[in-house]
Amino acid sequence: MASDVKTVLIVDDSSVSRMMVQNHISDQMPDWQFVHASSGVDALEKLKTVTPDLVTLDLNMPEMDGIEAAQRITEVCPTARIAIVTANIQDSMRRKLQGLGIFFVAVVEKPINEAGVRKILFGM
Amino acid sequence: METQEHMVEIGPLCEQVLVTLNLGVIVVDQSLRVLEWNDWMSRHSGIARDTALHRPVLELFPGLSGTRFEAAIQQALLLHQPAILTGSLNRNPLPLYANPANKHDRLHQAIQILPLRHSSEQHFCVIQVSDVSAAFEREAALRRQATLLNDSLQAQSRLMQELEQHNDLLDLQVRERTAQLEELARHLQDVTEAEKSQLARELHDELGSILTAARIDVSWSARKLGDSVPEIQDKLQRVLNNLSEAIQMKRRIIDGMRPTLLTQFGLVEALEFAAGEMADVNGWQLGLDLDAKAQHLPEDISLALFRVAQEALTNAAKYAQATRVDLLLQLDPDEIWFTVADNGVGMTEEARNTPRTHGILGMRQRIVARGGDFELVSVPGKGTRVEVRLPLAAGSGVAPTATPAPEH
Amino acid sequence: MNIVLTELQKETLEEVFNIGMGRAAAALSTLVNEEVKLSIPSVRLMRRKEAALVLGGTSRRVCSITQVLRGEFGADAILIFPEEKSLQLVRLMLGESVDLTFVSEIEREALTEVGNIILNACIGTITNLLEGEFSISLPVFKQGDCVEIMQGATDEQEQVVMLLHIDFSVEKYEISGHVAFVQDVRSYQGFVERIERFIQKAMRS
Ligand SMILES: Nc1ncnc2c1ncn2[C@@H]1O[C@H](COP(=O)(O)OP(=O)(O)O)[C@@H](O)[C@H]1O
Ligand SMILES: [Mg+2]
Repeated sequence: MASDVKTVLIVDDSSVSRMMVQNHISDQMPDWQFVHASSGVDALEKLKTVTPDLVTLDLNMPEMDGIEAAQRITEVCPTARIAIVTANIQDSMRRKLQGLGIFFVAVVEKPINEAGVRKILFGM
Repeated sequence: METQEHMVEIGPLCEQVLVTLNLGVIVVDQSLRVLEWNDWMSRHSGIARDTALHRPVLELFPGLSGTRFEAAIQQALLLHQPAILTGSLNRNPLPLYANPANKHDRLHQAIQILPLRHSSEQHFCVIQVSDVSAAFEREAALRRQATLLNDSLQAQSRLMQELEQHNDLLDLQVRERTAQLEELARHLQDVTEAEKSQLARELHDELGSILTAARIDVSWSARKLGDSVPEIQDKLQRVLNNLSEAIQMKRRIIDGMRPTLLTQFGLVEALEFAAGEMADVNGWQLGLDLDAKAQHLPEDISLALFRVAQEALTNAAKYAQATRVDLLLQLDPDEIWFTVADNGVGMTEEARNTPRTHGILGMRQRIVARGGDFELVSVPGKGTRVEVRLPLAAGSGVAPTATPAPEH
Repeated sequence: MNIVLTELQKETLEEVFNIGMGRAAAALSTLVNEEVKLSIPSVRLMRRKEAALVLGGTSRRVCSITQVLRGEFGADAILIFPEEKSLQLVRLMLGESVDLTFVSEIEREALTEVGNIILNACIGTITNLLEGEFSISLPVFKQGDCVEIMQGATDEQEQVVMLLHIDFSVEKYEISGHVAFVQDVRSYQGFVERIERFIQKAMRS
């Protein structure tokens, strides 16, 4: 079914991390399609041509950090669900994310693993 | 063969070492069970080696589940990472005492948790505890000393500050008292001057008119009498002479008490006159440079300056043996400069500083009481100079006053 | 020996370090109950002396805590705090009121433990990701300028090292510091092999 095929925008400055996210998701959702962005700015550029169902977002990135990127992405593409995949697992960061008023499907710790992907899929 | 012999000996030796060590040693396996619990541990925990062996370490120390102590052991077993736990950050985690029977003095502990890899499957961990109570005490003492030192330094600087403040206060008081005394002296002088002129007026108006009236009457009587009774005529002439003398004396007294010159002519002319007279008598060459604007200064200032001039001129006449005397009076918008200088014998420093001499002291006092400066400059063989500076209160000088606003 | 990293290797190294420091920051954040901010990590090859300059040179007095990794590759993991601020940090944790100008034994040990917690979190994550077998030394405390602190790590001054470096800061206490991995090129080959293996696994190629 075409509606089951979803598009994922993976935003992370590390290409290895992007590949890890893609591999772990496609392990469970082999039909899903992936678009990569290496920064927040790049993500906004990609959003001009694709409308993803899911965005995975890294927090610690140069230029535009994940928090700002999340806000801009929700403005441009309100239908996309966002999952945070981050190395920053401090409580203060979780509180900050909650304060944004964006409904994140999941906040997942790096490096991503099967359990993390399940958390994201469950949130959708 | 040799190696084997060696290993046989090492085993008991190791045990011996563990017993002797002045350190707590615990070895646990992957399930946190105690494999070794040395003598030191028994002594300070009150848990015997036999009781401890093969029991989970967290069962022996139940308070430590979920603490950093447990986390560090797991870290050592799983990730082979060593950890240190200080007594201060972890509040001396292990219940160890100098004497476990009375649990009063918990040992200050320094703990090291070290991974021990036996094979790739079997991991162990050594927990090493040392008693740092002595060091802790030493540091606490040091800290107390430092605190004390800090406190006493602070107290000292506070004291210094107070002392300085006190000093300032004293200074202020001295200055206030001095000002009060000067004020008093000035007041006394003013009172004296006022009394003198009052007396002078009375002498002049009352006594003067009585004496004059008496002289007129006596003179009339003498004329009437003619030569008829020569003895009486003689007596009357003597009375007339005495009366003249009394009138003269009265004038001299009045002049002495109230500088008539000053009240009649103003400061500049009075100075010219007085100095001129003295110069004639003493044969001085006189130099006068007197600012004409000073003619109409406030009465008290004119009087003070005139008195200074009188005293300085008198001194010059009495002591200086001078051939020349100079007077300089100069008026600025807010102050007056006045100098009397002679070219006489001068004074020794000792004479200058002798306090019992009232003339110089009196001059100084008059000037200082009005907020001015008085200086006596004198060099033996070169002469003496009295220098005075007096401030003029605003509006008291001769500076042109602002035109009053026209009234409507 | 080829010591040039490919762009992918370099970037992966930075990401692995980033994840490790994420854990370390969380550990520090729990200790001080405040948010710990991290910079973007950087990896560079340079001489030891230059590395010392990057970390602060001779102008500032610092405290450092070092743990040495030995195994398939070797590295010195160094945590650097400015001296004055690190004192404030432990004094806050110890609740000490006396403002002594020297680092007391207790403070020095407390700071060493803090360093140990941070470094273990970082090292543990890295060795876990790279799946190597290592022995790790106990933390060693040092005080001095950065040049002095870098000197002890190995003897050869002119030696090329790989400097993996990240800044962190705790805003409320105005504390910032660096964590650096310093590696001499001899043990570097093994490290690169591990990275390469990690990449292969991540990419599934
Ligand atoms: N112009 C002067 N030349 C030399 N000596 C002077 C002069 N003025 C004062 N002196 C010396 O200073 C002393 C103090 O003078 P003063 O205070 O006026 O007291 P007094 O005139 O009553 O002796 C005098 O005895 C005299 O020795
Ligand atoms: Mg005299």
